[in-house]
Amino acid sequence: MSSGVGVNNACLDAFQQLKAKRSLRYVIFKLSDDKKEIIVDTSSPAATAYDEFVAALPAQDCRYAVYDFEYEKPGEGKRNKICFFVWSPDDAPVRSKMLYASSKDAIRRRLEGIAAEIQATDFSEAAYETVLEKATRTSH
Amino acid sequence: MVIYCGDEVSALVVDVGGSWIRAGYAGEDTPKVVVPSWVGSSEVTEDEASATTKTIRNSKADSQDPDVEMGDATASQSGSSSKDAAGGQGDVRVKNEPGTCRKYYIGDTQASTWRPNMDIKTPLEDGLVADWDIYENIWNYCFYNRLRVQPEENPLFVTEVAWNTPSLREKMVELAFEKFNCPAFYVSKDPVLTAFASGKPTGLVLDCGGTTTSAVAVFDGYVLKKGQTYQNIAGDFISEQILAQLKQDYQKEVVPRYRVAQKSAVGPGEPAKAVLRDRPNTAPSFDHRMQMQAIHEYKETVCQISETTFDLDALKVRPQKPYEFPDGYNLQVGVQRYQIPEILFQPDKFIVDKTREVRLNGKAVSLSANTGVNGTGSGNATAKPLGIPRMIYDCISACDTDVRPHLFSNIILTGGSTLFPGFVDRVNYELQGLAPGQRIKIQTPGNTAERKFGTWLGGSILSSLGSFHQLWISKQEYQDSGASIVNKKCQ
Repeated sequence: MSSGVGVNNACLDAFQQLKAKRSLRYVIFKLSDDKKEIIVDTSSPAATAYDEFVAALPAQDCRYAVYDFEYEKPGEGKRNKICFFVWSPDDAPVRSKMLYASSKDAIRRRLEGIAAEIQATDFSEAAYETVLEKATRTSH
Repeated sequence: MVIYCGDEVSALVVDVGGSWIRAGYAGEDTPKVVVPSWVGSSEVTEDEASATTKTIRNSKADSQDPDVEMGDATASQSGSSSKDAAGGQGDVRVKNEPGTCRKYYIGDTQASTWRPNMDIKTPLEDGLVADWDIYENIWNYCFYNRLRVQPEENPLFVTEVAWNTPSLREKMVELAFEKFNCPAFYVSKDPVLTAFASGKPTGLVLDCGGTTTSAVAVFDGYVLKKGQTYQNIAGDFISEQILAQLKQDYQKEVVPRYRVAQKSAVGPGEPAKAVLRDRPNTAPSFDHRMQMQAIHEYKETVCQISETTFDLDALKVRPQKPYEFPDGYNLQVGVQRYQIPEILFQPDKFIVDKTREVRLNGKAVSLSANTGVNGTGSGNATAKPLGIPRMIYDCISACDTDVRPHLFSNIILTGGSTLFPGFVDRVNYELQGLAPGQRIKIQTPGNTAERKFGTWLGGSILSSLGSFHQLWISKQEYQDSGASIVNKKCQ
């Protein structure tokens, strides 16, 4: 079941830039004010550290995000994995949690090439190590 | 935040649960109507009914129909469910006799007021609607008597248990469109709404409420049918066992409040010195429900769950708690206050009254056969009641390997019986033992309102969304494709 919320095309464009052109490191999405579609909240150039991404997530509201995760595989060089985040902190209002949880499918289905999906409710679940472990576990 | 769209009318959200009915307007934070699902019913003659009933019915052509249908429904029930002796006169009644019909008393004060020969019933059995007559009357009561709205003007959003059957859903749609003339309808599953309301499209929802305990996995907003389990060991079952325990250990018959006229102080453990009211012709089901109410209070006041493995000696040294029953009888409750709720975790060991039927996934399971085995868990082919951590673990294990870690780290506890002190700690403790090395995270809605009304609130938010209007089943669609459309549109 889903909420029927739509996805703005700008989201897909931003995702393409991140995936194909590698010009973005992360894109954060949010629901528009009229709660009808998902729009781009912020994005950042490729030279952004992971910590900055985590810092950009609001502590008391929900977001979706994609992050182009780069890591070193010992002896095999660099790898890139795109991770999809559902950020839903415990302190967020229940209305917002509900909206983001029920609309996740809408955006997730439109994004192709996601290697790992992270459902995070606090900063420890979005920590570098946790995400690294998830990203490396997927085989391809 | 309220979102106004041009064509938007506030939807009605109704959640009929095992012990409580919640109803209200979409977009609000708490339901306007919260009444027990236990409904009083008694037989009255048609004249009496029309004279006393306050229900506003559609004045359209069907003004005659409801009564006729009511008669039908009750007649078929009395055939199947072998009415208890107190309903005596009811049995003599010839089937379809036009002179009598059922009158329902809905609402806290209505249903707990003593009336001669008033039965107490609930429309649900294992979460499934078993008595449509009562169910319809509940909707009626919510719309006309309490919310004071015309259902033909507002879309209707209802909730259902995860294991609801397609035919029951179709019946519900028919009720909404044919009887209540709703312009649009949607039905959604409880665990999905609970998961959404705690911000999780994926998670395992353990709902331990009044009449049923269930473990259901939700993935991306859809219920995974695999592994879902439900059994009737929940709040009411615990209360029944407390009743049996009091009888066994203290020879105490619990006297419900309605029978007590006056009580006087007695020492702990001394027989009560209360003046009782004379209440002839009380239906046994009413008396029992009132006893249960007294036990609920007892349960909420003194009962607790051991945070780690149940250890009789360790718990014996914990402080006792005093409790006074409605008739003045009072006692210091020691280790017993841990013993009975322990049934939720070890049903095979702590059940006092073994004559009570235990149902797992709608089928009765035998207790007596298992008591000798000294149940050690896995490997037993015959079905037996499960402890809550086991239900969670089995449900997750039945799902795909890829999904399991997601579910383990998103366990959501909801329902009134999870409010026992120590409950959450215990589930966490036991799961660590069952699934070592797994990252387990248990989530419980923080404030009580969210835990009590979680499902309703989920429905309220979802159906108030402007974008939700494309998901409703409209009356037009229903008329075009029939009731089976619900199984396509509401998944």
